[in-house]
Amino acid sequence: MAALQDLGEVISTDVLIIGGGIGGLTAAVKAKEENPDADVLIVEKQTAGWAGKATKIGGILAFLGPNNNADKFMEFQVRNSGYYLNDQNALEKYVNSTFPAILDFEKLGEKMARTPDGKLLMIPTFFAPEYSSTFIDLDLQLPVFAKARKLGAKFVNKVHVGDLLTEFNKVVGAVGFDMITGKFYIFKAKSTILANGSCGYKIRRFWVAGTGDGVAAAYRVGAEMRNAEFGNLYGHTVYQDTDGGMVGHQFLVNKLGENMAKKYLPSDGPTGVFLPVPLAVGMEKEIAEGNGPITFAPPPANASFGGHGGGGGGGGLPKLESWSRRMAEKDKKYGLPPGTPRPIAIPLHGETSCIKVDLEMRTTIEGLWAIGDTSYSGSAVAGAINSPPGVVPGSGIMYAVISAAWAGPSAARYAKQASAGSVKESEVKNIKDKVFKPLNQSKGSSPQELISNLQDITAPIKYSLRRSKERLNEALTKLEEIKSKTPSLLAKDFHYLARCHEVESMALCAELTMRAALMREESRGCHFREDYPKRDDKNWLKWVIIKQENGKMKLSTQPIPVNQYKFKPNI
Amino acid sequence: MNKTKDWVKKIDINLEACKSCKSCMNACFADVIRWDDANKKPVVAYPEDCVWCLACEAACPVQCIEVVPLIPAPLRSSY
Repeated sequence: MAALQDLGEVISTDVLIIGGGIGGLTAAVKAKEENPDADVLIVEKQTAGWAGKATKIGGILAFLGPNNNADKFMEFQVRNSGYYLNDQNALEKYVNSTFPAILDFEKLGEKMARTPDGKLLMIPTFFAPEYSSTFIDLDLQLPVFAKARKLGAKFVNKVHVGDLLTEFNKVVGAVGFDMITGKFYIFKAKSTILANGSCGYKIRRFWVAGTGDGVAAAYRVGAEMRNAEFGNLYGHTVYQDTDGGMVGHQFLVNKLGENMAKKYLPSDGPTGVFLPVPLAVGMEKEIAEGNGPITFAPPPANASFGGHGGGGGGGGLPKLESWSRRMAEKDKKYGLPPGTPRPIAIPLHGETSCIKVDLEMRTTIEGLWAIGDTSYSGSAVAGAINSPPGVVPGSGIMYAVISAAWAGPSAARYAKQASAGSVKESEVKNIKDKVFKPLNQSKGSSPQELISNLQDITAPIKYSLRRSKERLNEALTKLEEIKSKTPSLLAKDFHYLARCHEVESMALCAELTMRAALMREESRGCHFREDYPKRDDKNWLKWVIIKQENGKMKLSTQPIPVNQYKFKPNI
Repeated sequence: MNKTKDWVKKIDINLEACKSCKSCMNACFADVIRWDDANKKPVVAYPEDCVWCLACEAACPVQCIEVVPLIPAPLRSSY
């Protein structure tokens, strides 16, 4: 048997962080602050400080102001957004961590939106009581990156990590390969933090980095998944021709001039900015009946509700403003001629993020933490909807940094008392052979082909929103066909090799979502079953839990301890 | 054969103006831009993975990179 160092470069660390976006960088800072002597290593698939999704589009930060009432906000979230599927203890801890996170950004010297007299801009969120929003500039990761480096964190870039290493059901590190040179790495670690995002199936432009590699790796070592059926939503109304310019859903009309919100929403009460389920399903129906395209037609006084280009404004933040300007220029120069009707799309916004975690972001496997978009829905902070905590935009960056602030110190403390695990050469050899197999095949499928096939069953509303037993089984049958082709994926080089493994991760994320959706025989939040259209509190105040056992996907339910929580449904 | 479609028509880099600072490559979150060691210049290696996030353009200190998007976009329909 080959020695470990003959299989690849071995790097030992106390805390290993997989993913160098805003969550991973913050976790590194917090781990070093907890224990300055701990070795902290970030391994990033692209370039730490620039990676992930937080630097795309715009940094909205939603938070509870210092003089606001946490209980009132929580009650709204639990009753109108999470629909009692929240872990209310996690939600409470999260809500109370939001303003300290804002102060942390201020201390780092981040560029935040300001009032004319220099105070932090705090815009009340009109549809969510007690909550406020502000903006942070697009280069928000750089001050955190600089601080992590100053504190002594180390970085390895351009390395794709797909698998975790275990010893007696404990995670003891991970393996990966350099996407440029193909060099194989073995990372030995006492604590491992997954910070490499959710799965968006590469459908939307700015979310292509989310390929579910962390979710898949955690599942494969036996970590439990939770709330997988709530990972995705059809939340944004954008121009089909650019996937940009999010428009207000109150002014969408069909070919006949009928207003979609008036036709499909029972009342004009607060719904949040994300598209409500009945409206998305209604728009699908309009298109099927030949009443498309749906277009954006605001009354002249409200024309500013929809941006023409890629982004919104800039809130006085220099990078955000110049980016918005650039996007608008591209649209003007290369886009459709002025006056051309622009159909509105409601693309699948994939955020499969179901790794189950506790209040310190520990997964159910010792030595493994999961933060940011890897455990968005698995934390149950949000409940029956994908965006924590609910219908309020501005939770992505906030959840990433808050979960990092919980996980970083926890992982550093654990590493301090843990002894280094032993990594088995045979396990590493097996994984290495599998990792490089797509480079050595003579015929098979390209990753682009299988990504396209996967999008065929994840993008449509009929599979991912208007669910039924029949259609979910139909999608799962198609998914099995895709999975049968993954062992013969072909890679031309190490870049495409990473794509091949992303396909495997995405296929697994799709399966977790669909099987959980099949099990939940009711409708709630972002999960809508046409064959079980009503919410069923009698039978479904439960979390769907998924884990791998003996190579099989095992589903079970866990009753929600709602009687121990502050906010209870009226049954 | 099904295949995902591209989001951009082309990405132009004016190599004469380029200062070889690697900012565009570092800013890319999709591994589109690689480094040509022989010429000490960036190279557009995987344009099919570009989604015109424009981070490279914003990062370039001399504005010598231009991404030309493909509009209408190949956004997957939900219907």
